[in-house]
Amino acid sequence: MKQQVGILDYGAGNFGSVKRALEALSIAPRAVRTGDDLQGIDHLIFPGVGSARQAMSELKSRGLDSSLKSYADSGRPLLGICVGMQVLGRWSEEGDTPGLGLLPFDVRKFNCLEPIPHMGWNSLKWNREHSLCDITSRDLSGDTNLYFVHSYAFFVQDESARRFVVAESEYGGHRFAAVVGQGNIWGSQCHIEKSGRAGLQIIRNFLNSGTEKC
Amino acid sequence: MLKKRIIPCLDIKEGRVTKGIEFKNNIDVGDAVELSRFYSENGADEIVIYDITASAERRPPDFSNIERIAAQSFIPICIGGGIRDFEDAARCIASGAEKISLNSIAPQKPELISAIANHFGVQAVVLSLDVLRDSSCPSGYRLFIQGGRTPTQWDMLEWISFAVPKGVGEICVNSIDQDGKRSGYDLALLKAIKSNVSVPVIASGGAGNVEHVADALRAGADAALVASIVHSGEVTMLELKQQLFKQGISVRLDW
Repeated sequence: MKQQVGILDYGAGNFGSVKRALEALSIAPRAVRTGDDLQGIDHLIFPGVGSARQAMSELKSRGLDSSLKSYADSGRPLLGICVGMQVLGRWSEEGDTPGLGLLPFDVRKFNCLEPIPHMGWNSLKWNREHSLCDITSRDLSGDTNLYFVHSYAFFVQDESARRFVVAESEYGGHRFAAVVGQGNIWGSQCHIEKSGRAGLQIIRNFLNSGTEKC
Repeated sequence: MLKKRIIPCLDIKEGRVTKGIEFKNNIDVGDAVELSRFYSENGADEIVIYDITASAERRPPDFSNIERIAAQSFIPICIGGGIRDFEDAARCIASGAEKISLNSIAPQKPELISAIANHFGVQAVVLSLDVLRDSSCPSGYRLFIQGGRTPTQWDMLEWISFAVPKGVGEICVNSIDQDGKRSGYDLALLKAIKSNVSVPVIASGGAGNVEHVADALRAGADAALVASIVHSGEVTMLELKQQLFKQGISVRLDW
């Protein structure tokens, strides 16, 4: 059966970049603007640029927040990128914003002496014990660098958080989640649509992931 | 660890990439779409595209060209030249750019910095400066606009202190004295800027060999623009980055 990949179109700035990345992988994605558009979608990408508060309010005004939750409940794979990943969590310090609560993590602002936003190519450390690691890191070199632009992150402070952290990175002395995942829910803090071959490979891996109930 | 970035700079005139010396006498080096794709697949960490005649000709950047480049280059793209207002910037971003480089327009319309930053975030705004040594300025450098043709009243550091708080995410500093001469970046200029701002600084203008790039990155630059040395093919991105890596400079080597 032909794959039907959707990209959530709710005004996020990187919708076009994600679309172009999929087209480079020979996939013609469908723009998902309403809950009804989710019918027939088997892999959904949730892009994001800007603030968590803005993203959540755009989702709510379109009724997409509840659509996303029922899509996630259906077991079909979902991948959030950057702010799209951040609002998969419970809460973001950015504008004191409740997230979708699909994964149990909170997002806080970088507290460090280094320039904020954390911007540029940074290396990933894969959590080999994580079940999604095998899929996520497939066909990537040992020292994978991906492109980040963000001021807020899910900081990996205790071991329990590692259950959701597929890969982590480090900036300003803080470890934070670069890729998260549990069951069918994936998130990438890095802009995999703008991270060259390695980024496209992660998208490809996501598209090759099956549908499973978390 | 966050890597130092190497950014090929494509100066575009009528869809072709050119390279000049001290901003003049441009020679053709290739097709913009092809070159962007080539660099994005061969180790560039970002691409900067300057439409070098747009501003003087009072026209916006070529949006369809940006789209063609973005359809084949999956690394961050920064667009400069000809952006006159927020709508131009928004169209560049919709066409596939991540960053907008403001040069001539910024001293004339500083509120444009805030308009773009408030909507797209500060990381989308690169303040590009063309500066020329001038002993009558307190910092020793004067800000120029219109591709280095027109002097302004601004001292380089006074301009930076004024502009950065408006929402600048990065500064790209082009030394007119050094541009295309291949005698090295102006390291004193880089150090002066680094010690005055906390945003990332991109060195531009003057790289003639790998050693020059290494010097700029060691002097504190977070990224270096390269043009002649890579366009001429005398060093590939891989060779350049491998040599920087051997000197202990943290660069991205997987692609």
